[in-house]
Amino acid sequence: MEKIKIRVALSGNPNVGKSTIFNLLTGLRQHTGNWPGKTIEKKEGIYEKDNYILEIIDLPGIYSLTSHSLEEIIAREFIIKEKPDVIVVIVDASSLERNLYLLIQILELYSRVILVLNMIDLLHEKKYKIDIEKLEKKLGIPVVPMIASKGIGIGELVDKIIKVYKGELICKPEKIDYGNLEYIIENIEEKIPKNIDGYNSRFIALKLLEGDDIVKNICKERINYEEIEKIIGKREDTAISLANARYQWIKKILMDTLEKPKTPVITLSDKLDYIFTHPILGLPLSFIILGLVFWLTYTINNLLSDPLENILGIFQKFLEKYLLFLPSFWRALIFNGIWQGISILLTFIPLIIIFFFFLAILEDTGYLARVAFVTDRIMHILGLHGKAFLPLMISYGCNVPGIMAVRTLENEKDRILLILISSFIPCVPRILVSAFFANVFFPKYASLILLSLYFISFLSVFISGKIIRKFFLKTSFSPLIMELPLYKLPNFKIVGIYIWEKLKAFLQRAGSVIVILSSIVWLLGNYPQKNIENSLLAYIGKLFLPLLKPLGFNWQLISALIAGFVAKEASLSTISTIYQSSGENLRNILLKEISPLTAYSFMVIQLLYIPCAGTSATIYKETNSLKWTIFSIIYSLTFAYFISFILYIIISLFKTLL
Amino acid sequence: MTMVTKILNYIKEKQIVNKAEIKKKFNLSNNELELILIQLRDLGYIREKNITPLCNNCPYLKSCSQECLKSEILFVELPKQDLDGK
Repeated sequence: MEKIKIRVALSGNPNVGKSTIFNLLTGLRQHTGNWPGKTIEKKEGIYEKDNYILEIIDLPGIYSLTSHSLEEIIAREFIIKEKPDVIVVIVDASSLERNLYLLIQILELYSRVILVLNMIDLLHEKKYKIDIEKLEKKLGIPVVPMIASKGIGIGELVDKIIKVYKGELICKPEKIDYGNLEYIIENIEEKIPKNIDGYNSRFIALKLLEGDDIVKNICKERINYEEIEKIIGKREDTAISLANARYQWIKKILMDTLEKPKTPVITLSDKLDYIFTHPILGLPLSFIILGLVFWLTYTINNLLSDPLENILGIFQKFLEKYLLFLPSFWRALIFNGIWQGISILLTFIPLIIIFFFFLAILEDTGYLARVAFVTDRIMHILGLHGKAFLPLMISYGCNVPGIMAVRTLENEKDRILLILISSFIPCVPRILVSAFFANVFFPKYASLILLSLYFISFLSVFISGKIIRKFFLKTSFSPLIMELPLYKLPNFKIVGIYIWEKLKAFLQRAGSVIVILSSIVWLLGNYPQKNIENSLLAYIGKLFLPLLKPLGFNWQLISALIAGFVAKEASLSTISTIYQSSGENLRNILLKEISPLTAYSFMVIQLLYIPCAGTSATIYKETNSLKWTIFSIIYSLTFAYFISFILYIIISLFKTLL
Repeated sequence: MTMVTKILNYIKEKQIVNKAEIKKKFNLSNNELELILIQLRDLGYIREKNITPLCNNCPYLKSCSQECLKSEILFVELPKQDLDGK
């Protein structure tokens, strides 16, 4: 006797255990291909029981039957065109609200449906109780509780599939009452045939009210759509009313059948977020935490930097001894040029490790995402684009990937605006230069000085955003919802990798760009004669002296700023190379040559002025415009000068008054 | 005013919101909020934007530890045309 074939389609949201059930049913008797004309995988298999062969088709995981994604279109067309004998809708029992939404949509299209409540054990773990019989009655379809991972419930599912096919179990889904909209739905249904291309008239009416493009096009081809368009009228009200009706329907069904624990669970993440993302407290708190990180970094670093300087000194002497065979020119280039540039940066190794240790912990625990969220929200309130979040967050490490992250924005003007302001976020090399100056000139208040620089950069992003939006790029806002990651304990392996990757990048730059730059600076400082005051380097620096003299700058600081264009940390190596000729300790000579106020102005300027060469190249690549690249350089240069100048005058006046 | 409308208006008003805030403000469970967001997506009011593919193509991926951005943060946008008509 020939066996009876039953075509069964499995449908459900992604990650509800659909594939597990498919594999349990079909075992090795399955094959995989693609949906006709599509690149999405199609899985089919068979299951035999008694006189029946169940042909199982695994539909793509979807959230609804609208035509937003290819998966949704495939699933809908399959139900319409292939007309399976039974559809099994698999839901995650612990996320019923979201999952039942798909069930509603399928029931509006098809009636022979079985609902599988998979992962029912998770529901029980949450202390929820569900009345299966009542749920069956309310929905009007069979319901099967299941734990697919343990194979529990598979037998019952197969039995019910066969019973539904044989008509022993009747599916009579309850129709959702759309309230006031029922009148409009009926009106539309009257204007269209009972069935168009396999879709029933009610489904068509609902989808037209929701603005489904595919259904709309089908109607335009087959019927007088203008009449229907008049009935639909303004889409927003009706579409939202449909969503409300469905939301209420699901809520009512679950209220009658699902018993939840009385007290809602407030997670630790919720409690922490209440404080860390608080509209008023959030930002000051982030500054306090950042200040604490700086303070800890400095305190620990101060314990380690002196021994490291001593080790570097011993290493230098050792090298000098073994390189005595070299001609004096090469020895001078290596020890007075390259080594001076590199060694000053190498003294930052403890600082980098400590700073990135804390930064990695803040990031890995999920706190840094909150800082960006709070910052971003405040910027949005003040008039900046909401999606500054991502570039801002990434730019804290390095501006280059931060600027690349601007690609997430579709609008070109938004992209350019964010590219221009992202470069004001202090990257790590800039912080290193500032950290050195803060430690030399303000040893007691170094962490507060760094914090003030962060504040200035924050203000610069805000002010520049306002200026550029008002005068150069008029952009509009797109609101957004974000899902912040849950807080978690830091993974020290990840923290270790993070520190190592940053340190490696720093050392690679020190070993390449800084070596070359230090050599060039030393050569320029010794050409055409050995007196550095009459050198080419001094000549270049002095060219810009009239501009920066009012801020107390000397040509040495200006040369450092010029070198900083190549790589920000080169400012420091350049200063070290220039001042080595005096033979004095760099800290002492800086304290003698520059006032604390000038040092602070230098920190502000190097924080904000022109993006480094790598960032500028990325700006060009991302904007594909020389005009905007030059604009970003000129704008940041002007802005940095202006801000630094204002600060210099204000602090000078303040000092005079005191 | 119904829940879906309330949430849509809240997003429009706040411009940038955390899902946890919406849940707290309207006393919603995670599932209830997800249901509303899926419906709003179906209606074309919000658009999901997962940044993971972008991170995967980033040349700085190896030295980037933005784990939270790579996997868990999801952008949902409100199309401009709908907001302009607010």
